[in-house]
Amino acid sequence: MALSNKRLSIKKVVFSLSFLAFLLAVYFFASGQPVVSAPVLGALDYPATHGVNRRLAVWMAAQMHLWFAAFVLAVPILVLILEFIGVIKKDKRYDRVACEFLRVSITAFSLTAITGALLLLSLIVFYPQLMKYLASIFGPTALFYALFFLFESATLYAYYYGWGRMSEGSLKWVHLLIGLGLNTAGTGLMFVANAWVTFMMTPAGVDVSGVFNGNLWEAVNNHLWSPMNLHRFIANIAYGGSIVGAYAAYRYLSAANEKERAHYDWMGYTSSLIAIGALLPLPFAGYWLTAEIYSYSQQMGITLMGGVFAWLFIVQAVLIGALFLAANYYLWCGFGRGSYGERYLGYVKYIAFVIAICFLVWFTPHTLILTPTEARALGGQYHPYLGPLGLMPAKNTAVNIMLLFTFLSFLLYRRSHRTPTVAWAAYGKAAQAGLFTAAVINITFLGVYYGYFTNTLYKVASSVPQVATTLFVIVACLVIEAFMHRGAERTEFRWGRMPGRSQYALLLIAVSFTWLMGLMGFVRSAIRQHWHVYGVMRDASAEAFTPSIAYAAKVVSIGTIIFMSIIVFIFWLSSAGREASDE
Amino acid sequence: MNNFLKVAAFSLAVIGLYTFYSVWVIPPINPEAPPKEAVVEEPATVDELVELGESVYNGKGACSLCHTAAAGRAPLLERAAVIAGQRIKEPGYKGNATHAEGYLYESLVNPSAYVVPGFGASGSADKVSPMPDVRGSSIGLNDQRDGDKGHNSLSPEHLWRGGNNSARAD
Repeated sequence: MALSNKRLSIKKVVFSLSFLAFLLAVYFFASGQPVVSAPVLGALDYPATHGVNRRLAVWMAAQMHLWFAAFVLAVPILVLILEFIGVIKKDKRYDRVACEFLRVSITAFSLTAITGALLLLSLIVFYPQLMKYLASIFGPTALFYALFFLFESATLYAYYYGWGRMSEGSLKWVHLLIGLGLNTAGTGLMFVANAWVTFMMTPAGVDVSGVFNGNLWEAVNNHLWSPMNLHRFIANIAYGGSIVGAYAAYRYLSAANEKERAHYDWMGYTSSLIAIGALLPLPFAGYWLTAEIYSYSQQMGITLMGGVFAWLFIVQAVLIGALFLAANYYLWCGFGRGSYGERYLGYVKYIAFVIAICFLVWFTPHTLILTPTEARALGGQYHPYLGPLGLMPAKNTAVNIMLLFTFLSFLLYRRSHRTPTVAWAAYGKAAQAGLFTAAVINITFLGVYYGYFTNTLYKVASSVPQVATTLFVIVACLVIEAFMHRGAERTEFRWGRMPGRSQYALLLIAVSFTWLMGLMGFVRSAIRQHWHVYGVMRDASAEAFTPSIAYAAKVVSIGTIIFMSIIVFIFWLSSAGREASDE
Repeated sequence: MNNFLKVAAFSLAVIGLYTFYSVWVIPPINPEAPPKEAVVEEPATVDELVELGESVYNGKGACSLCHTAAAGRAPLLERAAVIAGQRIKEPGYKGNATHAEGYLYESLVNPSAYVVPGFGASGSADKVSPMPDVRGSSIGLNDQRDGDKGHNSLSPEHLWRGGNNSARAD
């Protein structure tokens, strides 16, 4: 009882703080006055910070806010999907796990608002002129933000506290509708915030001399708004799934009995499936985002993909490679859940080999940092054989093949508990093998032809047909698989039989995702270089320089540790609360 | 508690590994400092004018990001003075220039007036140039009217000296 009271007072405090943050945000943006042009700033336009590194403070607040926001935007999406599946399949397991997902995230909603308030406060204190300029353009959007915020808060509480009361009959559909409302409001909030951020990168409605003479919609619907919305939407789902997967993994490792272990095994599988499912289209959304950056400004695009940031993408490749390897490893371990899993174990080494090769191609740098002697010996900055692998066409090829083979792992995993009985099963499997082979040949041909035998401008032209090939094969194979396994011999998955080491793969995915989000957030912001609003409002503060990757990595690591610690605390709070109510 | 410690140690090890890779394995490159503003005097000699042009070309103008053989994203400019006069006679030319100098100026402020075949923005069938108007964006050269000679020129009244404001084109 004492613990419940304590949790209630914590909730009151965080709710009050959230509301305060919300009022502050509305007041600040609503009070913005139209200005004619972006101010030309000098060092004196930035208030004294008394030893505080203004950029680091804003960076940390923004990063924390983004991590929490990604988590709390994603979880209701997962919850709604699971609840809906539960209703359709009439399987209470989905309902229970959906409710548990929501419970573990509920405190994170308040923390999202608090970190948002901290971010806003630090921006107003450290960068008042920038905020004044943004408020002058985006002032009216504060109203939408306020409405979405209020609607999200109302639907969240109705959705969470109404779970038990609206669990049957038509009330269940009302509950689902409330969940849909919650997700719509959350996504709307993100879209509004994305408009401000993307305007800073690709301002629209601004003439060549920097004067804003456009309308609000032009400013909102700038070059990067739509791709950023899509990219963040998908990435949030993948991220939310990974964090819940990590929670399930920890609970699985600490489970006291078989029943609990089976429950958390299933929860870990379901959430990681959602995470991996969202991870598959993410590179394509990223490609669109990057293409729009190039389309807006070649200079910004080249800054992103060339020079110092090129090495950041090598780090990114290592992280995504680790994500894919961990996801595949988890699926391979899952073969043991099905009765027929053993017959597919022989394929694992080949899939692992292909993924490892793709991974190596992906993280091969184009330009090498060499001593003059090494450069002379090599005949230049580029390795004669490995140099071509550093170009985007090679990396696009590698990533598409990696996606296809990850999908293959998933197909084999699904077959580990069922055997098709239809007469044409052999033809179906041959058709799938043919599709895979044709896809790999097509993807490789497109990458090689466009990458190395056409003009530089068309080097990335292979991306779209490569992506289309990958998506087509995934959809076609799923359709064949579904028809082929109608009336198949099935055995139940034996949940709770996964080896403990498989759960570390889920933890690796969550930690890598968090770190990766931090790193890519840095590069997205850093390509503005010494501009608050790219090409319009120059940053004249002492911290206007671009930090090195090493520095950024240290900041991201510290941020990740802080964030993960808070998340662990939230999980602890959630399980402690459940134990208290059980008692 | 035992599991908690194991999970915490594993997570810290993963974070540590990524940090180690980024800090010690990746080449330590420090990006250049932001260019500083400097007021430029009107060039008095041809040499000063050439020097000024070169600093704009490699610095604030960021021209060398694309107009190089290595980058291959834009036409090379070595013979621009000779070729410019021919461009205005091309069938695809949509601009208003009547002489080579006018064409060069127009290419800076209205790059889509004529797009060299093969160098258009993706999907534009060489109708739209990917090059920005150099008076805007992050380049921001100042447009000045030279009344005596009756044509325009772009004179960087304020140059951001002190470094190339972007990265190398790979």
